[in-house]
Amino acid sequence: MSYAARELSFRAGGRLLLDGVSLNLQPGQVHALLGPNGAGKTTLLRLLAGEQRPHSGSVELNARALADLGARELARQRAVLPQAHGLSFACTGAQVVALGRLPCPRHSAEHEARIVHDALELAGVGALAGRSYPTLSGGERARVQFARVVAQVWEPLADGVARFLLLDEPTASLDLAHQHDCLRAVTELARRGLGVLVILHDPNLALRYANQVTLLREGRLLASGAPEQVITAEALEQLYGVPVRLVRANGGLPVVTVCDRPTPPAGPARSAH
Amino acid sequence: MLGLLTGPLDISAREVAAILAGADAAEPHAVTVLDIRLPRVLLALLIGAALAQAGAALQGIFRNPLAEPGLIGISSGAALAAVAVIVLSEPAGLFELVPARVVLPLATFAGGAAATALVLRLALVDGQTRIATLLLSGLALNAIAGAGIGFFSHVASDSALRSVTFWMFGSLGRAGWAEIAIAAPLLVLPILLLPREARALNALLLGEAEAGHLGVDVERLKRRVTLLVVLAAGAAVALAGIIAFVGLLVPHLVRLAVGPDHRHLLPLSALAGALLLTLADTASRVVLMPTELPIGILTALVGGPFFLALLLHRQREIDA
Repeated sequence: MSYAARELSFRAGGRLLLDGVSLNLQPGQVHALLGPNGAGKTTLLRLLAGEQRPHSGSVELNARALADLGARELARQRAVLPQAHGLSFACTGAQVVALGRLPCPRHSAEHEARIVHDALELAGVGALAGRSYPTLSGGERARVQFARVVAQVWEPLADGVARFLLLDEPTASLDLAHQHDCLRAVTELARRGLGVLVILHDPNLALRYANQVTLLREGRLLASGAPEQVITAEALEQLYGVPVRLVRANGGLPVVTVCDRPTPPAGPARSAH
Repeated sequence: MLGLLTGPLDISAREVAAILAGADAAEPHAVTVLDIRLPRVLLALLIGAALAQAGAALQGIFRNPLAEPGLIGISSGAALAAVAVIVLSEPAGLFELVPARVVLPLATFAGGAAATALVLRLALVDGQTRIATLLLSGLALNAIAGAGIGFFSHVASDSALRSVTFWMFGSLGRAGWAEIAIAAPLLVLPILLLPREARALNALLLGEAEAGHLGVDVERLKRRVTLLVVLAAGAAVALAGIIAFVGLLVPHLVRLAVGPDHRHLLPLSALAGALLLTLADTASRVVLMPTELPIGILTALVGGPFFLALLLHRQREIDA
């Protein structure tokens, strides 16, 4: 049981967006994907989701090629949270979450309402169940959408088939507290057996909540492994092109901080660290 | 009911009931009710239901509350075909060979379907229907068809021009039982089949990619719905000319009342459309009695301001 990408390559508009990237998601594990803007993180997530087909390489979900899975079967085994949300019709929060139940086997109305309620609670937005979606703030919308994809893979599948969540920057529009709430919910889902891929921009969140970290740069895999082994000052400098330091306070988790760039009087900028 | 009771001939409610029950009432009254008013009311119900539901479904697949069947070229393609047939057939004497009531609906339906096929083809990029391209091609086609209609009107004789005008503004008055028999399946089929797509259309509210993630084959859904909409709207235009705003307005009203869930929106739009068009048709027969006002003028006259009021009201809600 796993979600495996092998040697994925993808090109668009004459550019190679992804170049031979392999990735393996395990049930019960949170896998964080980091990289600068335009590194190919979203492309990788789309290929995994089956939204687009790779030009070479393959994706297997629970030991079956994506192409062999029916659309509904695929939708029962993995849910996808995209970055942007285009819903403009006046649904309530609960209605949005209920839309996530489309591919699932139908239960009684009460049972369905309970799942919707529980998913909203897990996402910390139980209070938004009756609110009209278009009137919500960006962060509130993001959390309702998170609840929707959680509802899609809420129930365990027959024969212990693993369920997966693919999350594209779920913390992007959230404040500090809600970023942590969101990732705590993600780790809770992993504890219940789901495998999660989460695209993040904050290495501190990855250090704190992920079991596995993959760094992606210019469509290539830079490093992959346990968070504290992968997230090093050298790797992050290589990844983002800014000088960083990892500070360890009182033997706790290392904290990543960005150092001041030395302001060069003239000539090309170059890190002195 | 009201539609059966109103008209230039004064026939009592009791008499109408008796005629419907099969009683042999005074001959001209029975003919009026059974052969003129009844088919007309049936047609209003069918066309109203089909247009309103087609509009609701189209707004669903375009994820745009401003979509309506006219926007993808159905109406203008049909209108161009109709006007061309009316104007060109006069000197050619076509209507002496085949009656106009046969040629006109066929040409109209073909025109609407061809225009839509063209718009859909233009919007198909890499096997995917691009909604923005679709709407823009629809707009361009509408403009071209408008030019064509203008040209034919310009060269038309006075009598042809009169039929053109009459046709452009819609009327339910030309249909008899024969037309209904042909068109009813084309109207009923979409009315029955579109609600089956309700759950998939709901998923599409979230976005095309999101619907795909939920296991909906979005491309197929778009094709199925568009085909059904073309059937419904094409048949409606072929029988009754252009009836504005029903496909746009009714889904809006229903959505305001029951929300965007297509499981309710589609059947209720059909119901509301049927009622609205029957009422509008009755009104169009009464206001200028004994002549009648083309129904398209009435729906546009009432629907336009109403729609503006709705927009302004919602704008204020959003601003507040």
